[in-house]
Amino acid sequence: MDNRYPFAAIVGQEKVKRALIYNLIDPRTGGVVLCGEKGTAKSTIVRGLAELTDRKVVDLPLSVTEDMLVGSIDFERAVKEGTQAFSGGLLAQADGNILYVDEVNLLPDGVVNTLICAAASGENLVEREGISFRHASRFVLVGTMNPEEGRLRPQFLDRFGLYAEVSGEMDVARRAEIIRRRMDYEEAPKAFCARWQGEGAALRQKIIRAAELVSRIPVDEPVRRLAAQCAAQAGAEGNRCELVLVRAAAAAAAWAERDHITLEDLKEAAQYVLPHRRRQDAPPPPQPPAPPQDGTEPQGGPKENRQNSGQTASEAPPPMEEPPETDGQEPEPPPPVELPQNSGAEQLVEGEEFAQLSLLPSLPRDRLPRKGSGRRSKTKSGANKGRYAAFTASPAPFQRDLALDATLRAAAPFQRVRGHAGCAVALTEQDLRFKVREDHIGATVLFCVDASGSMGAGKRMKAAKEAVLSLLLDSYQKRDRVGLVAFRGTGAETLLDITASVDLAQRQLQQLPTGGRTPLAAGLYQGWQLLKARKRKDPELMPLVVLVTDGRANRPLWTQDPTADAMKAASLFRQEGIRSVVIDTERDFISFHIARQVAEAMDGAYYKADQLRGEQLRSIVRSRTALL
Amino acid sequence: MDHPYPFTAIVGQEQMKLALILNLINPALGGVLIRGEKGTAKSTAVRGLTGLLEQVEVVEGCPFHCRPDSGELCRDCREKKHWNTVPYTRRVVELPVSSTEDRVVGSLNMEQAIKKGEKVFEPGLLAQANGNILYVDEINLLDDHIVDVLLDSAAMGVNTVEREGISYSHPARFVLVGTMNPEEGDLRPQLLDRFGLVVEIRGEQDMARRSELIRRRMDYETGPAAFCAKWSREEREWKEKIRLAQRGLSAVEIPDSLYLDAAKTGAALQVDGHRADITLLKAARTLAAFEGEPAARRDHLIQVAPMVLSHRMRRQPFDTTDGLPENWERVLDG
Repeated sequence: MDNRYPFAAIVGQEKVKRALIYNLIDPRTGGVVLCGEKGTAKSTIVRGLAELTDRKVVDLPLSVTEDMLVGSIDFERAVKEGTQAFSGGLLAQADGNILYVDEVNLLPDGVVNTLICAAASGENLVEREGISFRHASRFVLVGTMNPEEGRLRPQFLDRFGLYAEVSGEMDVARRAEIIRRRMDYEEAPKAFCARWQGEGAALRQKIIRAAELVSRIPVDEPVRRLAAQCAAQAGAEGNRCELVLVRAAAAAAAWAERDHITLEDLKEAAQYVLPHRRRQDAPPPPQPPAPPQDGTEPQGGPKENRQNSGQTASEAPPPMEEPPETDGQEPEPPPPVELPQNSGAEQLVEGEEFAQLSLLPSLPRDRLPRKGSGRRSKTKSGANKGRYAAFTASPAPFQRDLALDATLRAAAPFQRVRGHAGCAVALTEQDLRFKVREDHIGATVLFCVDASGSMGAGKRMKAAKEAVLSLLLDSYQKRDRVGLVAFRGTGAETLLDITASVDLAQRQLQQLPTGGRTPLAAGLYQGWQLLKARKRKDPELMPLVVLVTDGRANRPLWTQDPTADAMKAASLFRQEGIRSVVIDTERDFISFHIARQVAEAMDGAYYKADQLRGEQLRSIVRSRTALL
Repeated sequence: MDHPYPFTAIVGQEQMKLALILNLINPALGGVLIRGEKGTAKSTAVRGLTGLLEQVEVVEGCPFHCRPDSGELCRDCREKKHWNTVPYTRRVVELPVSSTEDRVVGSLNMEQAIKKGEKVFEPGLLAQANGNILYVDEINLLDDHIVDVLLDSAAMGVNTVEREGISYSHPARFVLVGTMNPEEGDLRPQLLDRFGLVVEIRGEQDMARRSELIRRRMDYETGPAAFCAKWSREEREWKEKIRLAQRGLSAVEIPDSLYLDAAKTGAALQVDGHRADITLLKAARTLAAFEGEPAARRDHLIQVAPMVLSHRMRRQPFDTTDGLPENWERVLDG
């Protein structure tokens, strides 16, 4: 099992390799997050690190339970020797090593919190199950992720010193070489590894030399100042950025076998340090400060120093404004992971690009057990399904799923004093612990879309489709179930009953034709019936309806008054306690504000579609959803 | 005695059969996902594979049925100096959609813990699956985190357990076969990409073949044993053909031009990453072995291309791709 694919045999991916090597040279660089599409050898590269260093690569599986991460009482010793010994978890194993999390963006929140704490303090503090323990836990954190599966919390992202993007090789000859090596490797792993051993050993030696060198590299005032300017320009929050920048630059210098940091080293380091820290509205390119004219390095005599720093200060753009206050009021949704190449402009109207909105309020986390899977909100799972996250001594009456490990640990301290009836472990009722499983429940989102003739005017339908598409993308990542009702002409039509196939919804939406009158009441009523039927089947369901309309109701359902009927249908949602969001596409000079009244009747959130473009509105939305 | 419907007696569905057989020959292909409507013999085909699996020698008493000839042994077997081997027929292990993670990856053995106070690993379904075929019906309804675990193990050939007070790892080399109905929702692209081959199947349309299908099924239901006996020669022949292909696989040559062809295909269709290229070539080689050819050729590559590429064409969620090219020669020569 130990013939891993050799690091040296990986074709290309120079930036990724470099980012990892800098961390081996100086672990204080703070880890790496590798971001990229699937099938680009992300995991292979990281696992290959083991041959370049004495450090181990400790895998942190997504299914890890909390006690395995932080450690727990050693029940074997407790039973056999009657001692309360601590048995280290992954954080103990990771000390002095590399801690690797594949698909780090899918890691459960509880685990992320523990990791952040340990990474920040360099130690693991255990206070649980009657033991109190503290041990060092210094590790290089390496994560890999595919951004299309979701984002990382900014606070967690910032913990990673460096960021590198992984992408597939496009050159055909190099692609062919990748296939050839992989096939050779799979055919005879041992022989393949032996063939690359020499190159691996050379790399290893070079890293060792660089690691010795790096501690002697001075970080003097001009370097520090340049780093700070760099960070300020990028609009990075906090001061970790410049610190990491300096360390990475020193590692880069050492790797280039230099005993001082040059401007080139800082530029090199900036490529890895800035991309994930740049604020969204900060100037896009990670421009390092202006280079000294004659190419002299910032290192040197005092006179030169002064000149250099003065110069850069004058050439640097004015410092960024202070970032707006971000207090605890708006934790959701996190700003997207900023990818280096597509920073900045996100437009909703015009062009195929659409911003990803997250209008849907995160469902409140409560203790009601629910079935289902998805990632919208976390809930205690009732169906003995989901991840075993923790344990409890007092489970819900219908949920007695024994957590054997926790039970044994609970019983361990009493073993010496209890009578054993032929068993090594004497268990009593009070020792019993039960599994608390945690499942992410996706929301059930019904899109109710106005496809009448009035929507065809201007770019209303286009804007509406794009808004819904962006919400669908969000639904895809959160594993929601979605449905689609369209209304036009004489009535409403269920284009898609509630399904987990967000793709199908997207396809239906793309093909949606427009035209005819606006039977708003019928559309609402159809949506209400659909959700009500669903709720009958599954009383735990917490559906959300997203109504997209211009509010120009002109076809009644029950009476002669189309608007009154629409209001009546809308009020059904309020009565049923179904939450709603109304997106108003009306953009004429004379507005009737009917959509707004509908939103009020539904007791839902109301947004105007043409405002959904701006970042301004996005933040309003964010704060409003947080209040919900 | 159990008599599953013989694999070779299935009418039509050639793509599905080929995909399954290629994986039997070369487990490194990365499994098969069969997407299609209900009642298209998906499950029958997978269960029918039992008849094509050969008998092997495994270490006696090993919960992972380690094969000494594979050079890949579990921790306990590696420590043993001597072992006895017993014959073992490889089989299809089914993983129900309601499986919990602890049953899949394994957990703490309750009896050992309470009686002896020892932490002993209780193997789960992945242990049973080692050396076998792991079949998940309705895999799209399985919890994402369990699919993750499955694909992880399938890719690494190892199951690493780090839970419930247990740290353990054991070999878990298996052919993963999933079936699903896409109307019920799809797998995440990330997971799709890790399936080596994907086949889309539909019900048989040809009337004569439909009628033949009914006849065989009714024959089978009337007397499964007799039906299986009637097909046993056919089964034996296929089994032998697969065995020969397994043996000949590593000798099948791959011309340099074919490496370039695979790379060109991946680049031209702009699939994510390199898994497609690698699988394409492996599948072409396996097909050549199945046909008893000394070298893989371009037409082998073209024949397997749809199975390798169809599920990898979509780069982003909701991407609408143009679909697979009609003319592969043009892609490869262009």
